[in-house]
Amino acid sequence: MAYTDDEKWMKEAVEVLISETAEALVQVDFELIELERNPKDQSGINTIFRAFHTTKGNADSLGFNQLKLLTHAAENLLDEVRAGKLVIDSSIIDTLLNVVDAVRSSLAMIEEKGHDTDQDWSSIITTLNHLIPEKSAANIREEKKPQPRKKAVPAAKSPKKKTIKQKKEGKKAASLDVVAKDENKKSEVQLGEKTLRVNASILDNLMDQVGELVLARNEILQLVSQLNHDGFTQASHHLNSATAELQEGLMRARLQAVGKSWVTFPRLVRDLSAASGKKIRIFMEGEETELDRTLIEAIHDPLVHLIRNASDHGIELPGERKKMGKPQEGKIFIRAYHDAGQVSIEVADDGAGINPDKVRKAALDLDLIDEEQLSQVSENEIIMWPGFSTAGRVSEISGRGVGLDIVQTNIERLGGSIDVHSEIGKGTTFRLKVPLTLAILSALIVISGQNRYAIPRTTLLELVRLEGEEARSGIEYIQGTPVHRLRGKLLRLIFLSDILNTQIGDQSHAPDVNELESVNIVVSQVSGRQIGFVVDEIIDNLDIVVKPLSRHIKAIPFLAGATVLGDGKSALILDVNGLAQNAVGFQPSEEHKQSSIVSLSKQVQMESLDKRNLFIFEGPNKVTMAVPLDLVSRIEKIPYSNIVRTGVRNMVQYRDVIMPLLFLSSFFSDPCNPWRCPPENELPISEEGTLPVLVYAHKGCLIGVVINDILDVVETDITIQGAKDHDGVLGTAVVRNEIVEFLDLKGIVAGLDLSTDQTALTG
Amino acid sequence: MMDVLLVDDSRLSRMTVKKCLEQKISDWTFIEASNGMEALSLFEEHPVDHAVLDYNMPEIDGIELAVKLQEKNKNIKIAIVTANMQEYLREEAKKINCIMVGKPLNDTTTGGILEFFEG
Repeated sequence: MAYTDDEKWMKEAVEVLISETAEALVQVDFELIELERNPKDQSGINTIFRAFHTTKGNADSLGFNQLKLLTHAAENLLDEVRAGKLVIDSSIIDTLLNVVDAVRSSLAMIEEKGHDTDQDWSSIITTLNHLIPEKSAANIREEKKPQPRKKAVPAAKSPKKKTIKQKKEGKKAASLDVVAKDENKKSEVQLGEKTLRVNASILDNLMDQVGELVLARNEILQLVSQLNHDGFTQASHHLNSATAELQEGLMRARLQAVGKSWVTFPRLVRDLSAASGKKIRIFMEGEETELDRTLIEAIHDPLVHLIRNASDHGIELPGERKKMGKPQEGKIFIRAYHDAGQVSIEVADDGAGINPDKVRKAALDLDLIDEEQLSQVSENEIIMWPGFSTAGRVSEISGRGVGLDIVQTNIERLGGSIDVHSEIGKGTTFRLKVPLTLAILSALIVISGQNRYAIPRTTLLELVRLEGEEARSGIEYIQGTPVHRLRGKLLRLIFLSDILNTQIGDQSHAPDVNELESVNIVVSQVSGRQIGFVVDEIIDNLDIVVKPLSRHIKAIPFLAGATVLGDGKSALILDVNGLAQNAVGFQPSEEHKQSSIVSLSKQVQMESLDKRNLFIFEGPNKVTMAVPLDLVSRIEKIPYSNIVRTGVRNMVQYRDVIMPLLFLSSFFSDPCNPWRCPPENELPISEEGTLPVLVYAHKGCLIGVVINDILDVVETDITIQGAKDHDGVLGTAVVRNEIVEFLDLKGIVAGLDLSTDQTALTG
Repeated sequence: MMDVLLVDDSRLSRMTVKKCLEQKISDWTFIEASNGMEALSLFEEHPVDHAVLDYNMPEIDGIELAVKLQEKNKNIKIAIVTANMQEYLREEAKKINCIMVGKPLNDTTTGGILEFFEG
């Protein structure tokens, strides 16, 4: 079955090509931006050259000719730079960044179709060739005369080969070292230790097993203390320390440098500054700080959001900055460091800072709060509220427009916290704090009523114990709300027993304050505010193993999981953020997060949307529509005057490509004719002369979908059940008390012929 | 049975070279490294008499690596592969008693490598 082996080999080869090249491109992005900033430092050129060179060779050996031609042209250009015949300037950088994007879309096509014959990069190749000075152009290395090549990759005869695979790929280390920018160090590091590439799922599985082991150990320790058997006690101590070391070691094995996911940031910032007309430079520090790999992945999107936020709302335009006496170039700093068993990651900018008056006014305008409540909250809290937009009006959402509330929710879901410091005119710093690992949690064990509960230490500020007279007078009620004066400041109190009693039937009751002998308060930081949880007893600090909850219990918002304690009994892990919201409801726009029942046109299960972010917009005929946010590349306002008519389609230049525009109103009036541009008076042109456009990436091509208005982004928890009652709509649901139609973006675009829609702009 | 040290910073390139060589002789044992430093430290554990090296690699290029390997084993036979075949490279390789072969490998060039290894 040589054929099948061959096919199998090819499939694997294509996978390797895609992953290997994608990894290299990230470094190319990074180095190009370094080079742009500091053209004199040419240390990165070789990395860039090699990436294109290797891709060329690999594309050639697998027969992807278009990709080969493209990377070959880029390689030639870089060869000139390397030889000192060509000086790097911004047009070269721009073109090479275009090449990177082109290679990415090439890989996307190869992944999808298995070939790249439909792609024509001749215009970008011409641009590359034109960049090479005339004189040397004649000397462009003559490609080796095309030998009549037989099949590049012959079929394997015998598949069983013994291969000593030294899996020291060095790739991981290499990509990190690129960040560290220390070439010499790299070789030392690689020589010094042997690295093994291990499948992540194996580590995950091991971690689960160690979790079980930790629980068994805890049980045994508990039993031993009752047994009083010398030999057994000794053995169990041995088991104890070995388990602890195993747990520690495995946790370390799962740690990776946070900088691993940062290499994409310089390119992001460059794109953001190009799009906004601002000058922004990114500085990164502490890339080597280690964190559990799942956490690194989980915080990546929140970090991207904060960077976008800093660029959109923090950094001012160059003119403004000059007026303020600041350097025209704004700075964004990303900094990671260890901090008391946790990792802190800061995203800071030296921009305008958060203007409290503006924030308060916007909150009022958006009906998030009334005048009376306004004095009780800080602006740092308000900006984290769902529905709040620093742009003032939600219709001006820039970028993907996810609110900071979603960043906060995501970070808190990881057992982390986020806080903000801002100074007008000086800048803003967001600080994320996350635990080192998700699987094992450092927690405070407390008793409320009959049961023990675990409170993650990440949110913990301090423990306060009131005794005797203090216990009886320490709790006051202001308008029915229990508070405690802690160092002169009012601390809002929540009786744990109150919530647990009503919500999960814990048979304890709120104590009569006048009878208390002592009061234990766990002071926690919740969404930028301090809350004191009153518990019956504080027992211990423990490292606990987090066990997921069953689906039903999961629905209770203030439970984060469960754990098994040393005596073999389980304890629930509390989510203090959920508790605070449940008890106080101080997030005024609770209804913003809620979605209710889905209306069923027919009982056809379409798609399960488990807690997703939805982009809400106004579609044709004033219908409120939604698409999952992850389908949306960007939301843009495109000047009407920029639209160019070519053939049947209307195109617009978007970044470096020509993007076709699809008019939803045309689609809904005639699904066969979505490209038709409606007459000007029917278009939703704003006062500034722009059209709201949702940018959708499809098979490496961008399509601009013209909608009527940008409304909002909400996080919601729905299962769309519905039926295709008409083309382009998946079904309906009620989101925020409004009937919303789900746009079938994928379906609409799948029905289009896009083969020649996009050409890279050259020159 | 022949042990071959295979050094290339691209995993796909290693896969391709391996496949071409395996097509000629099935009982190769490949010892793989993704850069020169790694290759040298691997060589300590698995000394070999044959090597296929990529020319264009970070830190240490194929020619430099060949010289270092020859210092450790003067009888080692080394083929260097490159996707940018140029005459001067062929000469450079010849000077140190190695052969320079263009990538992607084909039937003829693979045969050439074998002949060189066996000769």
